[in-house]
Amino acid sequence: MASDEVLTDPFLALAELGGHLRRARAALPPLLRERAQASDDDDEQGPLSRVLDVAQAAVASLQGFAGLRRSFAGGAAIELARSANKVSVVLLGSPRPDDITAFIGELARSDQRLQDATALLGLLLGLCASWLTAGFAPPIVLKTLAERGPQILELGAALCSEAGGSD
Amino acid sequence: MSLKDAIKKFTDGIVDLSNLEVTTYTGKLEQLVDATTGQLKWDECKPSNGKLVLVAATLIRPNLNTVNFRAGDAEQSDLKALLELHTAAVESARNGRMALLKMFAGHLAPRIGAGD
Repeated sequence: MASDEVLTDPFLALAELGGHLRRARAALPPLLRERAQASDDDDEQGPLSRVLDVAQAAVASLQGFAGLRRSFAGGAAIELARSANKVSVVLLGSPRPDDITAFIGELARSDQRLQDATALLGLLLGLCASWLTAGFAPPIVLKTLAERGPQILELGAALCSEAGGSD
Repeated sequence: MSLKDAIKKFTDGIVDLSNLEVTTYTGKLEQLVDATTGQLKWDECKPSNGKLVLVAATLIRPNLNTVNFRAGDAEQSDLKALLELHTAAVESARNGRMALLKMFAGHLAPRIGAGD
């Protein structure tokens, strides 16, 4: 697939994001080893690995926003499914008003997580576009990851705290 | 479904910015529970299967004009909670679209600027 295509098609770019992050991870070790030998500091890979871990978790999290399905006592169930430009909700059986209220609360929390996830993914799309343009040159990947790392970790922490709060 | 497929399914809608459609259905458990296992047959839980009843529908047009439909025969006691759920789904659909637009806007803006 041509990198130009990925650069101009954001949907394709999003779908390819996981692959780009893996490629960036693979590009770093030789450069980091070189730097560690030169400076006796081998602590650079750990933080960058964490940044890439958070980025890959954000990509994987998008899958969880395709829908929400819950079952309740008595067998009742509610499912919300998103597909293309349609959202459908199906209630099976007779969920109690409290069950419906709980589902609505969970949906709101899921929406908040989606906001956090897309904020992070938007940042990663920009980052990956710059890597593609630079042909994944390790110095560029390293420099941009180091620059954006704190922001990625911050957005990732927000995403994780929301996920934890909904359990 | 692979992650790639899931992302495609989720983001396909943003390509078509024409309408945003939200529908809420109800169904009877016995019609969708597997008699052998007692488990819900979620795969059959589709509006097109003829076993579900439409309670409410909302169509949001690109200019944000909105068309609402509400079934008249739903029991009044259930209707309030059902409509609250439908309203929450409409809000969620809007939020989801806005989140995706915002995400892609950041990706496209520099390129649009560069193309000027």
